[in-house]
Amino acid sequence: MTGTPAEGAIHIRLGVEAGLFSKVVIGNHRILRATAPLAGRSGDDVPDLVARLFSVCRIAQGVASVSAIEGASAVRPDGRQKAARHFLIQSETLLEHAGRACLDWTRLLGEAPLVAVLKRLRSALVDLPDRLFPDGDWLRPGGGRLLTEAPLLTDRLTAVAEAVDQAILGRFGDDGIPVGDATILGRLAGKFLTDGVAGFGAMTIGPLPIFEAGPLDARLAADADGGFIARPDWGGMPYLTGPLARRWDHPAVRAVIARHGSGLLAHVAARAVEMAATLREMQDFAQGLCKDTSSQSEPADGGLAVVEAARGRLVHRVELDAGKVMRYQILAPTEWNFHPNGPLVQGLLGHPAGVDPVSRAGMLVTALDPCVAFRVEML
Amino acid sequence: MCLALPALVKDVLPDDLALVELGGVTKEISLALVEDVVAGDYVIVHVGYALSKVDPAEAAKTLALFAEMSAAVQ
Repeated sequence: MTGTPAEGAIHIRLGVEAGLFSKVVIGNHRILRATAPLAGRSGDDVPDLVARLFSVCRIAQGVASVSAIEGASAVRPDGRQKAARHFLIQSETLLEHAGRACLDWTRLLGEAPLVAVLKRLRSALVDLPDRLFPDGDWLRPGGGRLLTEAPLLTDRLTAVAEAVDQAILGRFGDDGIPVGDATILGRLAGKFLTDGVAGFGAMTIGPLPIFEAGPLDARLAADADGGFIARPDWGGMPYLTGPLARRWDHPAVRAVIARHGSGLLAHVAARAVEMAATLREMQDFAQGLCKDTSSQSEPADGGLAVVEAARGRLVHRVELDAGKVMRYQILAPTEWNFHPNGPLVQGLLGHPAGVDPVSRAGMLVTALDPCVAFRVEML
Repeated sequence: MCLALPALVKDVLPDDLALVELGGVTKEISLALVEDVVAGDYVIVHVGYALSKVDPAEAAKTLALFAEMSAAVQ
């Protein structure tokens, strides 16, 4: 994959000695100060601007932004608003995972991308913010006008479930691993096992723990040079974030980790588990939209908001003065997973490089799923 | 980050491909996920695929925001 300077890119350079990865250098060329133009603007305008700036996790970015603004200005949305926002983030997570499966995982399998399936899913999911909030005010601090169209959501999710089950997930074996040749994840799991790379990329790094708001706020407040945002740690340690971190304790994922380690197969199993679970939760939401489901979302604390986006934990922090933005920071999941001593690096170092180290490393990069294009090459 | 820079479609090619101009660079992308794109449209691109069409007025607003961002980070 070729890097795209305009949207940023990640360049990974590899060294191999005695058949093992001996050096991994990550050049992270993502634009980490994209929030600079937000300073000086009215806080109420910022969530829409944030959603305009970011293409891939637009909903998660927008919800994190509006939650941070609400936290900083002591505005509290009700439980229905928070549940609807959570539902929208889930729709985005499902679509992102499906997108990676249809475009990236098929490439690893040497197959044509499943464009028709992805188009079908996009047509069912992409316009959900406008369906739930017909006035387009889903990012208004305090909440927008929420329309509950349970039959429409149910129909949409039925179509999504059908496509996801038939083309991507399929059935799960007793050990929690997707099986069979009918679906992408079944074929991919089979390929990893056949090729002997199921455990490739296993690391000793654990899932990112729940943040305590006070210490996180203090770290970000003190981050004058952007070093924490560029190379985050927690208690001095690197961590994994994303589907595998979130589903680490799921019995099926635990079984895979116990047998194969936290490598490629564990990433695939976690993504499969997450897609199935997300779809179920979305279907529940569609059938019970009017219930107060405020427990699904964590309230923002001060100007700090933490959201689980498709690729992992996303943090927004804002400082307001009389309603104007003085400072705006975003800590994104890619910086955890592509940290110079993080999951990718530790998942490669000391592992067999195989006959094609670039392709092999590329599989792990794809599993960790950076939000920008990436390029892998030898040093 | 995963920025939503609108890309200007310069030429629509066979096989659902197109040449777009993105941040001063011309590149080939796939139009397989979007419908009815013609030269002169703006699209949002992610890792080689156009994800959506953007209204020209909206694209202009977004490009202005990006120009502001570029100036701020330099």
